[in-house]
Amino acid sequence: MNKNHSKITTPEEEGGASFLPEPASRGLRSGAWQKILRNRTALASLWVLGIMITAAFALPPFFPDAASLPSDDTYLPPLSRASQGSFLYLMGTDINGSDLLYRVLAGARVSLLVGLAGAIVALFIGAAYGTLAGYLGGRVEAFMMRTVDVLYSIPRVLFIMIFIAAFDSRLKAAIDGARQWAFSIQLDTLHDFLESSLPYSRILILILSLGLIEWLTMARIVRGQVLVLREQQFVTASRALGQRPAPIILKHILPNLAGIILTYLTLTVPAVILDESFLSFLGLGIDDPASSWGSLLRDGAQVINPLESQWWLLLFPALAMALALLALNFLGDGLRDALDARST
Amino acid sequence: MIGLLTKRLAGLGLVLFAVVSITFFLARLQPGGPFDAEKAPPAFIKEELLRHYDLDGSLWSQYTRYLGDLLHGDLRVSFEYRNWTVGEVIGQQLPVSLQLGAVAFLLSTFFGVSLGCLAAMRKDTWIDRASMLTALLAISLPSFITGPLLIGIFSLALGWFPVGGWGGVRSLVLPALCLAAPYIAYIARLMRNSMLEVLGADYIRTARAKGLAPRHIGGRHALKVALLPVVTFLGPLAAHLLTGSIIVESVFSIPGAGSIFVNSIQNRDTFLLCGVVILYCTLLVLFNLIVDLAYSALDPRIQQNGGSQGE
Repeated sequence: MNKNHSKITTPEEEGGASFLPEPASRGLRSGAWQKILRNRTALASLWVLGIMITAAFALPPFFPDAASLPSDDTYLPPLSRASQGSFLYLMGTDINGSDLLYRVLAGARVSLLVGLAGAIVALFIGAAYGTLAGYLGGRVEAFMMRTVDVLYSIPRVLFIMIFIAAFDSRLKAAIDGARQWAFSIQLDTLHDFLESSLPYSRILILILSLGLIEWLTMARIVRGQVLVLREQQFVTASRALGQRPAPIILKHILPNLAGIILTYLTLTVPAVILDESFLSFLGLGIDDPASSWGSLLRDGAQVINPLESQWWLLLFPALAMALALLALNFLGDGLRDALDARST
Repeated sequence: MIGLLTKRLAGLGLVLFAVVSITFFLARLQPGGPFDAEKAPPAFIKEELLRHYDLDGSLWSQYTRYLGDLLHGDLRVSFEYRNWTVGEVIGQQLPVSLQLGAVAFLLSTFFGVSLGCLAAMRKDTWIDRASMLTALLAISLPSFITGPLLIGIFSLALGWFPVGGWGGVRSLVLPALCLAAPYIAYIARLMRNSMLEVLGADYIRTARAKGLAPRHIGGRHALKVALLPVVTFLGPLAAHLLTGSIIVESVFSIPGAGSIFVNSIQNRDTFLLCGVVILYCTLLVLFNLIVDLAYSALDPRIQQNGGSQGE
């Protein structure tokens, strides 16, 4: 790796030549950012994601009411004009006569939000668990990692479905209770906020349950990384100087995990989006009238038949979702290459 | 060898115990019982029903009695399909999923490994880029997109395969492909990376320096070692594919076991759910054991001393 032997190398630079496994991640510095910017696919993915997020959050208010509300224009193919007014349905309309483009954008908001928030929940749990297991070592670590193994062997859908079944109605009741309490003491803004957030409780439950199940891989990867870092000289030095474990973890180990955590955060987002779409496809995720890509795809798959197929209802949500997942995966790959972070 | 087997069997018992316990209590965490769904029966009948299905008494005593039955090999009966034991329900639907899953497994392994090797041997050519782009696309697309897509192209437009249903080899092609697609892609990516790593190793350079044909280097020397990460992945994959996929089975209207899992959760069919989870875990542990044995066959440096780390 570093052929210039006359130069005095730091332990980190020396990694490739030593017998110790090289610390897979070197934090976010050391030119990783330039590497990403030079990686064309990763850069293009960043642009695609940026445009998609901007469109999903900025465009919907500009649609006329006719686009978002049910109308008589059911199942119009793409590029049709609305029967009233001159609105152009770029992606056609669905069973209720709403504009599909509007619904895809609204779905993008929910899917991306659930994906990102779920991945962040997973990140916090996984990183904390993995760091703790890796740093403590010994029997505690063995027990913690065996627990992860056991959790791995239970199908994930089980947790998610039961979590939703067990807590969805309870959360709704809790929010409703808080709303009534706010009403009784005349906190109008709080009351209005709670009332408007009531339909979104399902999204919150989805974020929590998906985050609570997707952390296992993160925990394994972080723990493997901590095992390597723990043996590094700068950690030993810090320990020799009498530093206690908590500051060592926070100041010396966590910064070195930033790269690998960012990489796997990027790769967990598409995984959570896929999970959510799977649930919505089964009818367990987002409820009508809200939509996510998964629920749009369910509606689209239902109308595929030999006689008369409304193909656009399947095609456009599928394209949007594929594009987003592809971009996220490319970006994750690019980050992994740039930071030289490996899973094994 | 014997040590490994005994250790793994003991491990299987422990994993099954943990998993069954978690599943049982999770399933009972759901609000509502199996007999609350439609018209609620009168209280005394409900009590009788609960006693009949051994669901009376405290949750803890239900749990210990259930564990006792399991130790005697009794998976109990399903609530939803009355008069059917859990074993019968699973035995009825599993063979279909087993066939479909086995075909999908062979497809994923064969095409995944071939594509990955091809991409690695032709690194940085258009073959490599095209196959890796396709692979990432296949990973990004869930089976409820690829399924209708395959039906639309090959059944509706071209008419080569039936739209759905079960029976005959022709009806198996599309669902197996749909089930295998993301795993072909995943294995191809895994294979390419590990092949590239192995091709850069010293002993490969030696083989090349000795004048060995590239075919032999790739096929004999590199492949065996490069297969190791793929083999690790094959264990969980087999368990996953053989127990059926609810999405693929519902898109292609196949009467498989994939739906048992989701349905039993929704129907509060606790014992059926536990039965499926037990099946899945057993397969998982068994296939991981096979993986470990395959390891030492592929790479003699890896010794099986009973202390190996499994997934």
